[in-house]
Amino acid sequence: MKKNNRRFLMVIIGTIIMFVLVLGSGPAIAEYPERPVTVLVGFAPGGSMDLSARALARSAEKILGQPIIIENKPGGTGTVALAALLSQNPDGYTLCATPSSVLIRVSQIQHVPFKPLTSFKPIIGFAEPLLGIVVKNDSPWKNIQDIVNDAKKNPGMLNYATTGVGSTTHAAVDEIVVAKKLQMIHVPYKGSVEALTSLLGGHVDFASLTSELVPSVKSGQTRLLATMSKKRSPKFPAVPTLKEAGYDFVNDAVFSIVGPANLPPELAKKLEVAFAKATKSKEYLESLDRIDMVPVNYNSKEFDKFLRINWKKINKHLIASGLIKEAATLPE
Amino acid sequence: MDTLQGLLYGFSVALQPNNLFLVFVGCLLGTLVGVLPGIGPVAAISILLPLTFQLTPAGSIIMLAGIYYGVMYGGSTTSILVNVPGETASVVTCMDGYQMARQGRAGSALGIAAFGSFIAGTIGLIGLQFISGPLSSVALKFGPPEYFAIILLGFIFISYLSHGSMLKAGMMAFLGLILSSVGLDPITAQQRMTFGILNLYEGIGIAPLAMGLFGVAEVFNSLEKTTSTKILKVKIKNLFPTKLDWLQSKWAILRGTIIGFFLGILPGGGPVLSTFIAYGVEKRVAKNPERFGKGAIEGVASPESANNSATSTSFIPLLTLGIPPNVVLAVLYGAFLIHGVVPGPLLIKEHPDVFWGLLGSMYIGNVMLLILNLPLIPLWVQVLRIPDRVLYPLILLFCVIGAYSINNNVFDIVVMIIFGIAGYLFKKFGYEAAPLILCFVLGPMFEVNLRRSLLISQGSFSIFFTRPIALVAIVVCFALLLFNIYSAYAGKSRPEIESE
Repeated sequence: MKKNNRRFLMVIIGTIIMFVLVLGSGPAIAEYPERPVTVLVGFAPGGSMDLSARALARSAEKILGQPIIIENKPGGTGTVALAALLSQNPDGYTLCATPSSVLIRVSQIQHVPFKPLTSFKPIIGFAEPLLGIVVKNDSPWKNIQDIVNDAKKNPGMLNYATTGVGSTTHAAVDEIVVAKKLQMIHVPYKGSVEALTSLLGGHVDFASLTSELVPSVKSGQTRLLATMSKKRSPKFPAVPTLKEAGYDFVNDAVFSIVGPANLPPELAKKLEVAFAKATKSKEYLESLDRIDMVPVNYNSKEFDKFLRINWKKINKHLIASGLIKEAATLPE
Repeated sequence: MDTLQGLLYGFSVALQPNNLFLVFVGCLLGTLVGVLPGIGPVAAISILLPLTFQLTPAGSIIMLAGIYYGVMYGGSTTSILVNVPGETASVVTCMDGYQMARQGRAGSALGIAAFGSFIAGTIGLIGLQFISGPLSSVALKFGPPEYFAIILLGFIFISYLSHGSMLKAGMMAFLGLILSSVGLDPITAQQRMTFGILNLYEGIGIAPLAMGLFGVAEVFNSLEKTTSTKILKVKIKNLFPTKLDWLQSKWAILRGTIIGFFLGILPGGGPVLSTFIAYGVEKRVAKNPERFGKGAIEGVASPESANNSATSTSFIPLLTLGIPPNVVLAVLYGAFLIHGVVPGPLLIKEHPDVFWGLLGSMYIGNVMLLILNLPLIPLWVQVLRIPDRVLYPLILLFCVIGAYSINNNVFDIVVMIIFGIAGYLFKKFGYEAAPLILCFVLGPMFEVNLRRSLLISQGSFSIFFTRPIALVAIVVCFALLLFNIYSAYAGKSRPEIESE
């Protein structure tokens, strides 16, 4: 009881100190790795990118021996943080946690002031959202083929919600549409929550969503027809992947840590080793599981390759779907 | 467990000493965050999130929720005292609250805001407790066409938000719409009016815009008055609402509560929209609407009640459907998940301590906020005694810190200053900022829901007339417009029409 109370008091004091610190703090000057490392996140706090980065940071700071501070810099669909990273010294004290989609998908649609494939040094790919296609629980469809059959019978009548134009969730449905030569109406929403709300209200026929779909599937409000990871999700072992259902699509939005391209190789290596170790810790895996994220592990080289392969794939798809004529940013 | 038993159980959870203390910390921090401009509940909750890992799920949710509704209490303070909205949901409060303060009635305004918030928050909670089930199914009925129609109704209220020329109000409304369309096209993801500036890709932020148009503009305005420092400062008349204040605002509080109650349930609607509608309704039903904008107490009571009851009811979609209806609750949703609690239809069965404990704590928190805020009023009123040459630089300083803290980005400060200059000029030439802000808030929702509706209906406008909720809202819109035109012709003209 006594111990409990003290811990309780610590939390409260910590709360107040944190609060004061956030109002004005700046890094001090010292040598690597002797002061806290800042990781920029291009999205608002509380979102899946932010929470995943914080989970990784909590485990990695124990290995690195220095605190890791998450600094949210939302804006420009995640590109403001990447641009901000390039204005910092390449001393290993400022890194950026970003979804690969910002590097290779967003930058093809919008012009960005960096070269997506060469301005950054990929350090690790550490997590991905659980993407999937869901229908409302009263829908007659049991699998993707049911949707395809219905869409063939009623061309132009079915509509579906995604988390945004040109997003990975949109690309997944487009893959089906193109492969089976279907006609369906795309209704883009801003994020998974809006799209899920619309699905539950019966305003759209099915939805392609990110991790926010998990609670609704578990509570029986929706039914999951397919996921988009490489492997089946341990949460839903009975649900096939899109690949198993016969479509050439695997989630290309992997959450990663990148540094500036001219980050000294020995620092990059040190960080890569520390982060890789962190991704295997029990604490990290548990945190990810709670926020319904899927752990992945790409090392620096693998992730670089991943970006290059998917840049081309995405480029082909965006042009084919008429969204762009050519990439808005040169890749290198 | 029926509802009353549940509530008793909830109180037993919330009244445990640790949890009671957490309610207090949450409410206190919320009030602080509400008072400071810029720093909103989203930032506060996410900063404190990692520190709650040590607490029980119920305890941490109780504290974080306390911050959210505490902010809605505190947000009005700076609106009233210095014309700087502490929170987007308090922008409307600036219009009459600040005027009241300048007439020496800051105490009345702060008091009525606190009492109104308490009454509305509690009524909202009762709704949350007893009829959250049916209400959440109503919320789901709102698809794109229904939102479109409701927002159309919101636009009708532009005319009630101005007290000068209708033409000027219209111009400001259109400027608001244009500004709101900066950024990514919501349907095709093309950039609009971003001029290659990365920081504009997601549009202009509402917080720097509102802080600029109100707070910073007020600072610039004060520069003109340096010669008149000898003018006697207004005497502070009373510290708490008088009997007359109560008489004038009791129905306003109730109306605000009801408006907030229903708009709070709608995902995306929420507290901000409800304040504008509540203000408009007050002006519509007032016997002498010309008092509005010159310190009408109803103009403070109603919106402040609306945003608090909306805050209470916005928990309904989160707790019953697992849908966070706004950004703050999305962060709170993350907090639930981190503690292994999944909000949604199963919450009440799987984690009764969290569900009922949260509800019980919100009742307690509302009382606590009232007790916390009333003694502060005499203290706040002292702010007005600070000499202008000290007060205004301080306001500017807080605005700059606040703007930066939203995204940790200097660009937001630039935006705020630009709109500060614009706001100063608007004021000088008699253009009011309120219609601009309303349209800035509504514009993107209006556009995206119109376009989504037409996507669903494949271009046919019949979708707005074949769905009952949408149809009713559109009929009400036309009725209101026709009534306004009629009353203008019948000589019973409305003030904003007659003044030009």
